[in-house]
Amino acid sequence: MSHTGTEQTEVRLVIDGQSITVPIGTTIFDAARTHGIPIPVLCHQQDITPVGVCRMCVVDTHERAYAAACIRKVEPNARKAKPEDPDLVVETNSENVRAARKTLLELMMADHPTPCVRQQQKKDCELEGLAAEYGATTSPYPHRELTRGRDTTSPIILVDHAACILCDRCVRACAELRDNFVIARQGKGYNAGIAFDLGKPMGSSSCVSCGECMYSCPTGALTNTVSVKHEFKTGTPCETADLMALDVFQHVSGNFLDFNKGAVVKRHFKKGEFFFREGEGSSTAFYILEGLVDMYISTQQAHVHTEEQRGTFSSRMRSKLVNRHQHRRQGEDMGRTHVVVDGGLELPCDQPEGQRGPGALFGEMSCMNAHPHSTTARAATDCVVLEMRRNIVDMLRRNKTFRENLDELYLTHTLELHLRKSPVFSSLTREFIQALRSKVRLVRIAPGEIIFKQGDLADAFYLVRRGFVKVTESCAGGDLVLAYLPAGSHFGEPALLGDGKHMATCSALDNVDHVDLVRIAGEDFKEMIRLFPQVHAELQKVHDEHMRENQKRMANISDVPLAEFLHQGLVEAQSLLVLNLDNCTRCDQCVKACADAHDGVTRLVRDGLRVDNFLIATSCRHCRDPLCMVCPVGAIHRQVTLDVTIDDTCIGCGECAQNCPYGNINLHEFEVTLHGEELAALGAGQAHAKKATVRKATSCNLCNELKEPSCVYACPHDAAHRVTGEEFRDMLKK
Amino acid sequence: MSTSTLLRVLPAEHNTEGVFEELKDIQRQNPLHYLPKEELQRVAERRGLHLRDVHAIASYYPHFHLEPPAKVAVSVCDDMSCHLRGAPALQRRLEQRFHGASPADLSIGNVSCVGRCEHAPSFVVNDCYYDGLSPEEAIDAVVQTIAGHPTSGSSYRARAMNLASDPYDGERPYSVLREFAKSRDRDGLIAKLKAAGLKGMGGAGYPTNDKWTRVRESKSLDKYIVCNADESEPGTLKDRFILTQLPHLVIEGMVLAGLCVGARRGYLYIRHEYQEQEEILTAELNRCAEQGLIGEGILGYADLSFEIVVFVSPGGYICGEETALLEAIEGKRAEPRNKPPFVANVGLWGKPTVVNNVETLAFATAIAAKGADWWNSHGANGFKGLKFVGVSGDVQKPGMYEVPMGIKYSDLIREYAGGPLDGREIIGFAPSGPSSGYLPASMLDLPMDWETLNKAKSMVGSGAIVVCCEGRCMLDMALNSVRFYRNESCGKCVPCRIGSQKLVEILQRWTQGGYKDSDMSVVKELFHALRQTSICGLGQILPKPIESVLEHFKVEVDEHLLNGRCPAGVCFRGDLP
Repeated sequence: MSHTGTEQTEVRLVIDGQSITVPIGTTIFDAARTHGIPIPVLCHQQDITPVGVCRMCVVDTHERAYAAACIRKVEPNARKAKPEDPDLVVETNSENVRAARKTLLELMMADHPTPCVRQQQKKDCELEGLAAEYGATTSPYPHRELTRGRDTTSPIILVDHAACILCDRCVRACAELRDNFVIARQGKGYNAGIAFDLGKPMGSSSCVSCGECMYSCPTGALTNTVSVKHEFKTGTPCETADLMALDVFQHVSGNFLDFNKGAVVKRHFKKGEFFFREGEGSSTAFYILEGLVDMYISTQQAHVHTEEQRGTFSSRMRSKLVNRHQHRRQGEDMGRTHVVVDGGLELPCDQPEGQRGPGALFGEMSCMNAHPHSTTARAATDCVVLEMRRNIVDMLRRNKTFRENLDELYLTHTLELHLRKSPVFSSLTREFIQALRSKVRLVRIAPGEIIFKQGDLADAFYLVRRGFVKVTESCAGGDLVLAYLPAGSHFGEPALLGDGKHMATCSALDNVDHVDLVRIAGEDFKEMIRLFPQVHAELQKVHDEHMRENQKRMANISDVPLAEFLHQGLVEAQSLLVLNLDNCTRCDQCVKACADAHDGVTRLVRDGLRVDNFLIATSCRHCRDPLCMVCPVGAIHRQVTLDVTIDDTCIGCGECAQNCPYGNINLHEFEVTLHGEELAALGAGQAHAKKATVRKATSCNLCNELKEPSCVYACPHDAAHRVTGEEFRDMLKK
Repeated sequence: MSTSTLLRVLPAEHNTEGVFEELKDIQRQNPLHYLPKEELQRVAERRGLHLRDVHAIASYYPHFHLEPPAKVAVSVCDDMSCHLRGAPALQRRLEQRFHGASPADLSIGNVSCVGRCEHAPSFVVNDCYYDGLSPEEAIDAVVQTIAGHPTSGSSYRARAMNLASDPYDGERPYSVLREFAKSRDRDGLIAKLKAAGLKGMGGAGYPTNDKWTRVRESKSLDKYIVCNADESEPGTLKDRFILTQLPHLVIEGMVLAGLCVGARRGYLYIRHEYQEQEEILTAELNRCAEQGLIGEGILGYADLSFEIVVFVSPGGYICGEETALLEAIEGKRAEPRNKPPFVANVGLWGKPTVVNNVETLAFATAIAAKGADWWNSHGANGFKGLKFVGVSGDVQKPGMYEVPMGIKYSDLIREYAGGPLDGREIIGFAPSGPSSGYLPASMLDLPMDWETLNKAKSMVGSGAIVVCCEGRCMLDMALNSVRFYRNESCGKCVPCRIGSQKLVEILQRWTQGGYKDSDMSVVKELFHALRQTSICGLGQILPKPIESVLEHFKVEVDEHLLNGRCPAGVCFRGDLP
């Protein structure tokens, strides 16, 4: 047993004869999982709270009754005979345990409509799969006499109560993953079941059809009746069954893959072709089926390049003459304002930094971050790859083992690239980085969670691996956002270089996703700057620059109503539609132009918050810290520029609109024509096409297909402007 | 607080507190005596709960009706003692008499044991309890209710009696508490309980001093004492008796426990069928409050505070399982929790909690008053202590008795309960309701002792002794007991939810001539799964009645299975449910 100081932090257990040491409070299931010992389970999913109701994961802990591994935490055993004894001895696969599991499966199979809809369609009913494994396909128990019925009222989900095993996965997914709280258990005992709201049919309940319940369902109780139409410009859409046969999709529900049909395409790349180049943005990731892919990083010139393109409000206005798709907007580079780019040393360029082969996933960081690629990927041989959208990667990442593999890959491949990307660390030697690899800790920060507070004692230096870190400083009236640090940035060093106390509060961006960090302990950091004086000098320069910026900023804000600004979230805005009321004649040309640009449905309302003589119209602000990006199908995402857009895969669940604090996302009904397959799925049965209405969320996309937002373009009085929060503050000062 | 936190409406932890009383009020005031959807919606809005949460609880407890019930709803108890003493005949007679009545006007169904086993059979008409009536008297009670003049049900009031376990005998009650408030001798109190070897009288027999010590050692600022007065196991009568005769000992025990472990609040969790005892307790608590024995600053000591809340159960046997009980107090579906963590660490509202049975708390007070030596001076056949037992079924004088621990079951039945009914021969008995399983007459001479009974694969449990005489079919009794568990299963975990139903179906088949050779290995596998994989004691103990009958009454069972004959002439009649 390991002790740190006097406090015990770890426990030792013996699972099937294998001695395993884990932190106190680790579940038996996780302890076994991390050591490759499989334990069957039906009611447990790694991303939701365990409840231990299906009892499939029972293990023999040599106590009065078996324990459910998913929920049983290992605690220090105060009553063990000798200190060197394990805290818990567990058998996961003894004859008696297997016999009990077989009986449980037979009990469930007795009432299961075999093969259920799920098994028929996707062949991945988890109950039927386990029953086959345990030889429990034919149950010796009498079948349920009365069927529990089907609910066909939802437009996208078929509910077959007969296949429900009361695992509560949908109940928890609905509440914990989506904050929807629609599904719960109803009734008692053998007559218990799941219900929506006050026992309504799913279609008339408050269900928003986000689909999370059917992704979570282990059986055919909840299945999709339709598929979202994802479209890729290139590639062949993959069949659900083909995807499910791949290792990487082992833990992903067939319902999910089928519902998101077309979100994964198969593509062929010839040797030498590029997947993406460093600096390009995309919202897809690649999975290699065949062939080898070289990963390159170029010089730090890319940084210089982007720095040059950093625009101010006026320069952006000027650059409207340039094709929008080619120029970068300011948002992309925010957070790098403190990085001094001076060219630095040459890094080896045009030499592959690594090679990936079949079974590897790449490009996923950029896909998840909606941030430009930090590497260039090029086919080393002819390749066959799967290209997938963000929500697919998101689903893969829910699996802890998958995430741990990504972590491992990161440490072995990417950490070095990551460090070398930054001019500040270019003088580090490969040997040093290799030594560092075993010392760093990969940490995950929940959305909104604070990493450290202003004034806290500094004990580590951080690299941002994925996500955005918000840097705020407390001042009278609230917190002022100093910067948003994207993947590839670093923070925490000013305190380590200075007086040891953090000068600002750092936290994970709210509500979007977790932030993954690399934590380098204070002493390792100090060792690094001792060994590499050049790194020290670079960091010091950044630090000084930082201080100057801050002083400037504080001087700027002193005469602006800061509290109001903070309270209304204006500082978060990347693109406020501001109408100067001195010029505005209320002609509504902006609204009309908006409607014209978007199939007759306006996405802006000429009303909203008034500040001084300005009106902030109700239209998406493209927050840096967006609360809306909670889409279950990945329809709402950020462009490279960090603009927020909603694409046509929207299923109208309204999650985003509900989450937008400013009422800037609206749901509209659109007429569509449905065809045979979709109609059959809805139970309509007619052979002919039929008109129907679908709900879609709409919000300002800054008319990204046009040269500039129509509202601004259409204003005859130069009253409408799109500005960032900071720019608006400057406008107020004038 | 971040914006996202402000934007989300998360249910506050205590929004469900008192929700059952609110639902009961709505149902009582509703002209059709049910909970309409609009009302549930209003409850949700008022409390900031999600609709699904209100529906989840309202649909869980059989006491709540989501559809209007019949104007006159008759529910007959057919569990163990009532089953033995005429419930099936009574129900058949009622069904014959009211055959053809419209379902909106009259319904005849079943209710699980209502704790009136000594006056079996019992039944409920709307919210009025009747017991000990003949079928014709029962018909009369129903007719009167239909006519709008319901007769008053049976009543259960305190009687004058001397009980060895009452240290006061009417004189200066709460002396122990007064003494303790001065001495604060917590170690001494726990040492007394330990010396007396006081165990949990609810059935589990866990040492009381251990429970108290664990919670006492916790550094948590919030702790709770819960008195479990939700006895619902067929044959169990003792808590109602103790709450009626010795309410002061129970309350004093709760306050002592609270002051000893550092809790400031206690819940007395009582089953809703015990309305009279609820009244008795409320009156006693009011008296205590007037005398400064409970509340803020007990007996004038500013640092001693303890309040007691009487919590009326929304109903169901499973609520007697201590974690399910806590879930109910928290206003949720009473589904047992996975353990560990145990309630001494993570109990009510996640805080350390002592859950003690009524009898345990009463005895704790008695031991605190008179000492461990006094406690140990009681007992028979070399065993120590006292026990309240309820004897029901086929005996001359069914009822509640205070007996010495270690008494032989044969002596107990003869000396206290007047011997077997009508001089018949006893063929088997359950020492503690369905949970103890059935023992054969040959084991009647066993002493009532925890270890002895454990060795016999049974238990002293809650002392719910049910006696079966010749003419009874033990396979039928096993089916009856398993059916009770099936009816009361909460449905949370797979083995109990589905296994109980399948076991009932298989046993029903056995009593109707449908035995298959493969059945025996199937049920043995099922017993193993139920015992080992169920979350709580209900599922784990569920096989006990049939297992014990298979072991001790093999000849009779084999007659059923192999020869299609019920030696007692009870089964194969086809008209039993």
